[in-house]
Amino acid sequence: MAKGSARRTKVIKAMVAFIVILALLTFFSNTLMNLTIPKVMGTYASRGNLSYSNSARGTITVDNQTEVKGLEGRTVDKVMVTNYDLVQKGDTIATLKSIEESEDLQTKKDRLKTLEREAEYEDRNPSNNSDFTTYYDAINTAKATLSDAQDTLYRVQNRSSVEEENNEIIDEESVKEVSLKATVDAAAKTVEDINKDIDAIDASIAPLQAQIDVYTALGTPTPTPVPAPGEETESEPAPTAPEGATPTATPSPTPAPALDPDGLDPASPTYDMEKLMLKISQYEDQKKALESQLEAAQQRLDEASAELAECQGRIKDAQSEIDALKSLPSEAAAQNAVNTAQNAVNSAQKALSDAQTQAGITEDKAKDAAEDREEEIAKLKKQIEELEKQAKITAITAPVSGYIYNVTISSGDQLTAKTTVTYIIPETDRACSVSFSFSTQAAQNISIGQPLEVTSGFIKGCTVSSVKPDPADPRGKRIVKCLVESNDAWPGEEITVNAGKGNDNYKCVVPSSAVSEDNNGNFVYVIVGSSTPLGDKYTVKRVDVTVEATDGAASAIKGEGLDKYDVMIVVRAEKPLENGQRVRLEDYTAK
Amino acid sequence: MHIIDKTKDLWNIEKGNAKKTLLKLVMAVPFWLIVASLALMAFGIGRAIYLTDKRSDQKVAEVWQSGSDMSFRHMVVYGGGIRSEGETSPMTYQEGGKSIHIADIALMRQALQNSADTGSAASKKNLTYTEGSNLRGWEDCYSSTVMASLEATEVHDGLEVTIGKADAQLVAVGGNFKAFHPFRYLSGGFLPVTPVDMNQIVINDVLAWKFYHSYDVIGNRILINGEMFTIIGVVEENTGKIAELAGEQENRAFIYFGSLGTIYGNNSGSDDSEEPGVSSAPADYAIQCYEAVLPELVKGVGVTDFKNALPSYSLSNPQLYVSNNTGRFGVTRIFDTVFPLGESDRERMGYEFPYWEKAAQLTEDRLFYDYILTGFGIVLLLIGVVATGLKFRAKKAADPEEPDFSGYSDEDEKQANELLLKE
Repeated sequence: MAKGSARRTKVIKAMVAFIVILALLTFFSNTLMNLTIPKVMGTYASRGNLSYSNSARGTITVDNQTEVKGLEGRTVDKVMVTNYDLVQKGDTIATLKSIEESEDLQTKKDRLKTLEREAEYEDRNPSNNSDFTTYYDAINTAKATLSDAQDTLYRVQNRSSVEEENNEIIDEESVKEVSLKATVDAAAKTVEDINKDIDAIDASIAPLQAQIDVYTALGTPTPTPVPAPGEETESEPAPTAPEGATPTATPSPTPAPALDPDGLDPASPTYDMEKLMLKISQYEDQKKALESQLEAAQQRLDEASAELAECQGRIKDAQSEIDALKSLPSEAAAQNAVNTAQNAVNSAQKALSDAQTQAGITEDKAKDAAEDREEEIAKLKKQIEELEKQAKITAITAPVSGYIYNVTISSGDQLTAKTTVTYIIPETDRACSVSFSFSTQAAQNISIGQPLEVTSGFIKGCTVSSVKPDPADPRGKRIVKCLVESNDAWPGEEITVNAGKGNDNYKCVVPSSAVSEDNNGNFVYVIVGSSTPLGDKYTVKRVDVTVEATDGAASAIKGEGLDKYDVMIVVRAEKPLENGQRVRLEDYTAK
Repeated sequence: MHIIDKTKDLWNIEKGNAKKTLLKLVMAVPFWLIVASLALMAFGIGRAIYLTDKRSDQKVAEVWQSGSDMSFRHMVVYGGGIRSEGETSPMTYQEGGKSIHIADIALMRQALQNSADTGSAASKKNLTYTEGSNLRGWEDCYSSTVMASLEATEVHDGLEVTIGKADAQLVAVGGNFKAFHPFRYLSGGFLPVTPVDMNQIVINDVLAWKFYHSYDVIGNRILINGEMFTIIGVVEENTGKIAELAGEQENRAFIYFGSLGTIYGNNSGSDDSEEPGVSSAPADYAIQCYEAVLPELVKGVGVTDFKNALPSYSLSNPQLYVSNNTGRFGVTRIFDTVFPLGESDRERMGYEFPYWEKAAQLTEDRLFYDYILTGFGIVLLLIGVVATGLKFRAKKAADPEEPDFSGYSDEDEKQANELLLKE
């Protein structure tokens, strides 16, 4: 019972609390809504007429500005000018650190040193002309082997004919050998006989000589040599009397002694001795005759012996040849040996060719590397020379007078020859130009030489110098280039020109405040209403638009669904809106 | 009737119990701690939301990146310059890198475009927004302020007559100023990026009401220094204490930057000036504020890109004041700005900030106190919760057998229940 009562008390308390909260919410509902739902003001998009101007914006470029370049490898010490300073020709723009501090130069020098050392070592290297002797030797050996193999093959293939041929040789030579042996034997016998005869004559002469020696020892005078029988003795011819002289009487001759058959004077005391000597002389003559025969016989013996030896040699050779035929391989083996030898020759020749090619490549590489090195050395030398020349330069100076523009360097910057240090804009007589992009329709009224109205207080005027199709949109756009008449113009300055005004009817014209913009482009918020049991509910829907024209206060826009008559567009909101956000309306018409 | 009587009785009992409970609560320190902490937090957070909501020009990056998977960062640089005749002279270029020249815009744009292109290529993300045929993917604007005397004219009976005269701040703008300053328009629109007519002007609600007592003033003309301008829009300024202190409620008009030359002439006094350091180049009006919203493919790279794009900026000697507006009202950024004390003031010294930056800086100051209050509130809340927990623990320890009455833990409530049951 007590429990139920406590529960009833709780229910009553909860109801009271609920009613109180409901009352509070009702009372403050408007305030709460104001805090959470932004209030917007909308307007209906309407058809309308809009005056517009054919305007275009462009950026001024100075055509006769002077670009000041940096010095290769130098470091900026201090920049002496700031943008828009007026400088005279020769004024210092920036001072440079001394070259000793330049790492670039040191790096280049180190590199040059390394390259020169490499070149020197390369020069001192022994000539690396390739020696192909080994390859040639290998080829020759292979060729010799091939030749042997071919010969063997030939012999194998002609084994029977060779054998037959050699047998014939043996047969022929054997016959000859017999004959020659007989000849030799006969000649030898003749020589032997003659030698015996000579020995016999010598034996006959020896006692005769001994007798002579005895006679000589006994003091027998040595006789004059007796001429051989039949031998004429030469005598002094008798002097002939001169012509006309009276012949004198000749003494009477001595009576001639009686001579023996041998013509010797037996009365002579030397007769015996002469007789002996004559006998010896006769033996000597016989001996000479025999010796002459011996020589001829010996010659015949030698010739026959030589022929015999040759004959025997041929027989031996033929026999050897026949014996060698027995040790020859089979024809297939010989053919294989030839093939192998041929392959070996080919391999050796290929090895030589490869080696020559490789050597050529290596040589070309080395040559290229050397050329590259030489080029780099030359380049480095030039750069170092340039840097050292530049080292004497301690500052970058203004090449012309004018205003400094766009200083791109600061202290400590490393410069290169391509670095743009700054630009110098002429103080007077600036040649400025601007390019504008007009629609083709607007550009129809623009002609070369026509002055365009400049909507900028800084520029006096500009004149059209060329009209060309826009490369990005050749059909729809024209690039109008104008020459700017002003000494006050700066590069990068934007100017706007008007090329006439236009007046058109548009389907959807709204106050310009309705058009918002973010990174996706222009857009408007359309108010979408819906009825709910608690009343009308409004939300906003983002619609991306294109602004066709504007006169500042109003804009003609084009977007999906905006051509309907009941489209209400937000022109003012308390807070930035988001797509789909709930809003409340302040008024239905723009003020 | 029985039910009504019963309810009355219950109400009387409840009233008595509530009085007792309230008395106990009031006497309890943890209760007050929690109340105070909640109040502080509500005030701090509420005011922070209110203040940051007011500064929609600091949320440009968020708006710009809506619907995109790419982050953007809003960067601003403020430069100095010379005003030869005080605030009524437009700011002219000062040599030495402390000023931003109009020609510097081209250099900065080129550098920023290069950064955007590089980032786009590196991340393989397309920066889809294009301006004409040129891919951009980022946006910028620039401005400079000057005080001028304005005369409002109106056509009466076919004659254009002057109906009022007032000094107003002229904001000379270039680029897509509208994208960086999301105005609430009372009529018309803002100056188009590509000028239709250089002599167009947008005025604020203060000036419109002053001259015409109406906001529907499009087509009326205003004379400045002999030059006639046509009103094409009326914008509503922020209200509130900060807006007032920052000068947002002053008379103000917006014109094209290029119109400065029309109003003040090309020889803006700098030729006649003998002051050292003043450039002798004619018509070299200085940019007071340059803003850009940049794609940020890597967090923080936008800041570096922007600083690198400034021609005369260096970390050691900035000469220009660079502000990273994205997330500048975050807690850490606010504390980073305030501490070390006085550092931001030193950095900002010597610069002439436009009204929106002044308002942002004032907002920063107030947000600092709001965050302090909120932080203090959080600390108090924690203390209150801990104290309450300890109290309940002590009570439990004193009477462990106490039955659970589902919230009616108070002794008096138990007695009241018993009484009700008896009746």
